[in-house]
Amino acid sequence: MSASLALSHVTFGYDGRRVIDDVSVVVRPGEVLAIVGPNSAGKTTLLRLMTRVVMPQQGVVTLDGQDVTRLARVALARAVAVVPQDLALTFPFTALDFVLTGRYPHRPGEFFERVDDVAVARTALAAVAGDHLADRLVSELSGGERQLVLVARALAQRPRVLLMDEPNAHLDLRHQRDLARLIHRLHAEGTTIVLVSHDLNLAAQLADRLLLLAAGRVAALGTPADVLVPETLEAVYGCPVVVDEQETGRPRVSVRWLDDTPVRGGAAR
Amino acid sequence: MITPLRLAGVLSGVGAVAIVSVLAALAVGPARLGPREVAGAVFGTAQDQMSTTIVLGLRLPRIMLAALAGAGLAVAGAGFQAITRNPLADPSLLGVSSGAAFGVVVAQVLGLGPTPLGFVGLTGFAFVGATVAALAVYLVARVGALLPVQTLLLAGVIVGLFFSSAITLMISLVDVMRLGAILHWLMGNLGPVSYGALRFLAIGLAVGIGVVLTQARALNLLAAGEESALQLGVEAERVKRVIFIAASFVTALVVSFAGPIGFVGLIIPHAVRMLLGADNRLLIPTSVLAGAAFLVLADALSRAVIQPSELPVGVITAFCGAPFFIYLLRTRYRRTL
Ligand SMILES: Nc1ncnc2c1ncn2[C@@H]1O[C@H](COP(=O)(O)OP(=O)(O)OP(=O)(O)O)[C@@H](O)[C@H]1O
Ligand SMILES: [Mg+2]
Repeated sequence: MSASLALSHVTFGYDGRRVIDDVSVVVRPGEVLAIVGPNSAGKTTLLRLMTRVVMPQQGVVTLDGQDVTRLARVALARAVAVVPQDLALTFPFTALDFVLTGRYPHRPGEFFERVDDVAVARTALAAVAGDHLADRLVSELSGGERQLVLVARALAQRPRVLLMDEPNAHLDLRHQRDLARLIHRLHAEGTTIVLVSHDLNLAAQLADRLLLLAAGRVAALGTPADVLVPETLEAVYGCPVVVDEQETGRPRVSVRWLDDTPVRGGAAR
Repeated sequence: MITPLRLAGVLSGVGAVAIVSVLAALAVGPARLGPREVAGAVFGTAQDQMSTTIVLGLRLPRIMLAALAGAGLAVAGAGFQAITRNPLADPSLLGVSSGAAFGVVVAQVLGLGPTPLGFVGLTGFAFVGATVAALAVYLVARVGALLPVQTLLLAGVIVGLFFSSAITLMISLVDVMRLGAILHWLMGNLGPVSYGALRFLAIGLAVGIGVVLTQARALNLLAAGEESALQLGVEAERVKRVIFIAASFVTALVVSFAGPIGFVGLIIPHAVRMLLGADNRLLIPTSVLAGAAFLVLADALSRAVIQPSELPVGVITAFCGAPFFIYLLRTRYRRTL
């Protein structure tokens, strides 16, 4: 059964500085929702609210209708997994051991993992084509390798909702394609996915709907074709763009890199 | 990957080393006893009463104190390293040992002696001193939600110095004559100890170390940061608080009976981590045995070098630990500084 995640009039700020301002959105069961928007718009903060790392100051976040602040942390972690934007890994764990930590919420009371936990972890590493990393130390991986291991850990959680924060930021073309296909496959299997990305074209290709966040507010929410229109993007990002079509028919956004014509707007902080 | 089998294998190996260390240490001392006399005393087949008294009555309790103190300090170090996510944390470098020592001195000035109630009082005062010191270091070193290596070490040194000075002040005010003895104790002192005291220490340490062990798996998740741990279902704040209290308690116990012996909590978990990896489920129990073996050997060395006199064992651990620390700073953690 696919899970749904909903934010209803959520407001949040760090130390009194408002970062999320009255955001409402329903991530429908089995949908891929992409969250896009300028740096510091509050995308990562939205994921923190969804996983109760921070609590809403107003409004409520629900998982299948239940307030997440009332769920046990392990119960939430069994349902919702995160691929974080960045993680400093200084202790020498092997990649396999690290991926195995994704099994924790399923049996938090046990001292050792079981054989089937190890099988799940190995399958997860294989799903990102990271088998060869199993015995490497995470403290000594390259940026892209670490990214693959982080995705594998989230897969090992066997979540019903997968939140990914810039999962392709460190990946080369081949690995970006692999990741896109993985997301596509998980989508087909019914996983609900929230994809935060600066890659608007990837978002347009994979997502059912896009949420464009600007300075903590919903600037646009809808299908890729609805959201990715030049006027909206130029107003939010403050830079000139061209929108045409990918060969799949989805919108394609290109930046006019060296064009000096001023644009109006720019909600970036 | 850690399995019950691997854990058992590693623990038997390190356990064997610990046992050999104890047997070797039994042969060290001013009275010249050969392996046969020592074996005779241990297995109760000795002809003369003298060697039995020396081995079982004098040397063994002291060696057991060394083993218990080493085990406790190593686990306290591993615990502080896990919750500060800083591999250079250690009860002595963090000033926690000095805080505990101050507590012990206050208790002694108040006249708490070697009775069961006295042990409880001594440990209680040491525990308060240790937690106050640890809390002070934490509050001074914290930058936002982070504990950077530099500020943590600096704060530890400063808090440690503060409590050392407070100890000196206390002693000078109360009883200048005892300054020498206290200074000796402050370098770590494995003096004569009763079996009653050892039993008390062993039970206390078993509780403290047991509590740390129950959190070992959660600590692994904490290594990737608090946010990540929360998102995997770990109640990060609670785990940190439990380890904070347990590690302070273990430090306090050891300091109460053996003085603030330095560097064991740095050296042992580090060496184990280099050999076996960072998994706390392996690291913590292995550190118990490795810490015990290490301090037993260090103590034997301290008794052997300037016979018939002896060095405080803290001198030996510092001579091992300071170069090790410098090596770590200059090589492994260069980038983080
Ligand atoms: N832990 C924190 N404490 C205080 N302020 C924070 C914290 N985390 C983020 N912020 C601030 O909140 C705002 C939103 O941050 P957030 O990380 O959600 O942005 P983002 O949309 O994910 O940006 P990016 O695209 O750069 O990843 C920023 O101004 C940031 O500086
Ligand atoms: Mg972000």
